[in-house]
Amino acid sequence: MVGVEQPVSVVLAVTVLAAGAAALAALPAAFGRRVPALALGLGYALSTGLMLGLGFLLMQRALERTGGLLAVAAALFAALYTAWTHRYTGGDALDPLEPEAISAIEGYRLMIAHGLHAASEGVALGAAMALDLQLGIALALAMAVQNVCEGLGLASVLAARGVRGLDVAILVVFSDAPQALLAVAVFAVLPEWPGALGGVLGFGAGALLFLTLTETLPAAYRGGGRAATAAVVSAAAGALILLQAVVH
Amino acid sequence: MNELVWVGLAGLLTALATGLGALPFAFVRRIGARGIGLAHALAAGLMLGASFGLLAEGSAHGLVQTVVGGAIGAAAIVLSHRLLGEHGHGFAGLQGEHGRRAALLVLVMTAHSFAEGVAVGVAFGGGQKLAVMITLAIAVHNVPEGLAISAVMRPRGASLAACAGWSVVSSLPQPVLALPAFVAVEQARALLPYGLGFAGGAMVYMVLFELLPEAYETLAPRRVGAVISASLGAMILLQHYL
Ligand SMILES: [Zn+2]
Ligand SMILES: [Zn+2]
Repeated sequence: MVGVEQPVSVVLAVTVLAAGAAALAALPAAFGRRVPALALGLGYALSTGLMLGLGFLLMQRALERTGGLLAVAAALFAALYTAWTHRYTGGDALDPLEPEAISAIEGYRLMIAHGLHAASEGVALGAAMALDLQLGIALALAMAVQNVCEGLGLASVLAARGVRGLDVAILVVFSDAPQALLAVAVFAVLPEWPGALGGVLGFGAGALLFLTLTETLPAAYRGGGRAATAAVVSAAAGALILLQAVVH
Repeated sequence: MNELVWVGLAGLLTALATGLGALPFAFVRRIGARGIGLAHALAAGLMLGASFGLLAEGSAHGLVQTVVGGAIGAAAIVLSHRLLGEHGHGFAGLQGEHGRRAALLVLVMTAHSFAEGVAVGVAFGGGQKLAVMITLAIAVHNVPEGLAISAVMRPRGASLAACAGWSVVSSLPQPVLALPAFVAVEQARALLPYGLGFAGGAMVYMVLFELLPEAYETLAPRRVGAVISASLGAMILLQHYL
């Protein structure tokens, strides 16, 4: 396939594109439009489904390759780590569907939470790419979609705080940058340390599950209602799992 | 033939386990909203663990077939919710609004059990390990579901026996559906990934539509996340080391 002689630069390009796609989330704010709660909720549902599908795939591969104990321990560690970061960022207590209710300081905390969320996704993406580059590139596409969906929530909070057009785009992409950085780092380092693959895959799966349960899924239910959320989440997860069949 | 008996027994075991959900009400009259939320989160985590096992096994037999089966399973649950609508009057000695609410809950839970019966049946088609894991997962997760049913019936004046009885009734589709599902995938092996996908997809959809929204209603998201991560992790370990 293309660029196999320079896989790290391919990974860098793809993940930077995926993070950069989040800039699209600034468009409604640029035109002075407010994204309705229903649309935000459905965006979070789509994002949840893609993350859960990816988590399923990572956990399945982790169990195939290594002892279940390492994979599950790493997943539980990821959940604990995420819960710990939520203590400092406010995490699940902040509601991006009600942007006006979020103060300036909470806005910063939400951005940090968003950055940490993206960082964990970067670990998951990097591990998927190390496992199977072609599949990983397809997954980066899914990651781009969910970056736009989640970026809409952050952008609406920023817009409600009076941040304008291009600045919204820059801040949203900036808080997704850890995703690209960690994906590249994990992809570059893993081949040197193959014993860690199962653990890193497990970490990615656990982080994705916990992030959906504490951040994106509650927001999806609040904005989209339970029927639409259940439908969108299961369809998106199914589509992501099908990606494997399309790629190979 | 011998295997059929095992499948039937497994389905019966999971159904009877639902009755255990009435047990706490022998000691207390009611259980707080957070306790019910916790029960829903626990049931959700165990169901997700079972779905993970079904879908992983299914994709080993055919990825596309599994996803197609999953879509059919989810659609079947959507349809069953449509058909159920709001029916039922005077129920288990309960009248009016109380009876209707309890009847609706038992009805929803019964529809919910159909997919779980299919899960038990197809799991036996997928091998002994999967069968033990799925039977255990569904039996254990039926306890908090029985608790949820009893929690609606008991404070409204139903007897302990009625709570336990109706909880078991809500799970009777499990033995009833497990047998034909098993026979189907044994007779036509090509059906196996579809069947595994059907059960997994239906259960994921039920978790998303029924259990998780109830859990979030009374529990903070981080608690829901903790309960589900722990129970899902335990299920995956159980399946891996069985
Ligand atoms: Zn995400
Ligand atoms: Zn159930």
